[in-house]
Amino acid sequence: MLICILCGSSNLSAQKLATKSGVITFEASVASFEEVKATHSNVSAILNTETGEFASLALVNGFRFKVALMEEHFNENYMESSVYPKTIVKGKIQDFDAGLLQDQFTEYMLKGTIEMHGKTNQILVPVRIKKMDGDYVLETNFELSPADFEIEIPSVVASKIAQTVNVTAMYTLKSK
Amino acid sequence: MKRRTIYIALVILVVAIIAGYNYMYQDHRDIQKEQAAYTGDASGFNQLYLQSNKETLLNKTVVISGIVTAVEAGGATIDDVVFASFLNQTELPKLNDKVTLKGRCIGYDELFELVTIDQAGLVD
Repeated sequence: MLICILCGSSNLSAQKLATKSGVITFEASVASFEEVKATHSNVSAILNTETGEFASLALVNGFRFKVALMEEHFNENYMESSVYPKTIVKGKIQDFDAGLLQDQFTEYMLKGTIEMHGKTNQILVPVRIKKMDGDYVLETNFELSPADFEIEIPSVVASKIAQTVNVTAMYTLKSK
Repeated sequence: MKRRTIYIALVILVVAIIAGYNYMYQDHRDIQKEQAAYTGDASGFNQLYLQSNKETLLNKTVVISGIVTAVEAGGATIDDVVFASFLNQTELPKLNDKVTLKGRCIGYDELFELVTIDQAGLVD
């Protein structure tokens, strides 16, 4: 459905840019305890350069941790990925103008929703976009709270996992 | 007698510690060495995934065959219905290759309408 909206005119500025190899890293480590960090290198994203509409999907099973057991607990106990297999961000980059993009980063605000663990929350986060060799590079950095998504962290390990999770995302969007 | 009890207790403790450590820091699954839960062509897999209860195929090892319809940095699209991300970038196939690959099913990407598998490797 979202793809139909994005398949628009043949106007040069109305491009649908996409990637299936976006990288999202999140970290929730607590000092002097074991590192709680994972990276996903197969995140999908689509950007409509005319409307500024942006959507990104990360399949929860694709997050890789250094410690296999931690990855298993993340999927089975915390994210319950067999029930909620995906994380989706949908939104619009405010005042987006593809024509103004340069080879230096320009900062915009992305306003939208993030759906994770079956819960949807509003987000308003800064994103940095630049043009590089014909591709569009989009980066963002923000924090999320597991509690906002009803992700239950047992009290036994609560002190070893940070209250807020730092998320970094990087996409190299190419025209189709 | 007492010294012997302490000695045995110590051995059990050391074994327990080693077992605990090995459990906690176990290796990641080696997808290429696993038995596949599904073997078949990409279109068949796509249909099966969309119709069945997700839990039967999610996180399971599958073997898919088909023609490569698109290639990009992260992986390859097979028969326009399955996207496979390769463990080893050197194994990335070329467009129009007929391939059989083994990977782990991680879910359905509704942005591109593709069933996605990761840790894929070519199977001869």
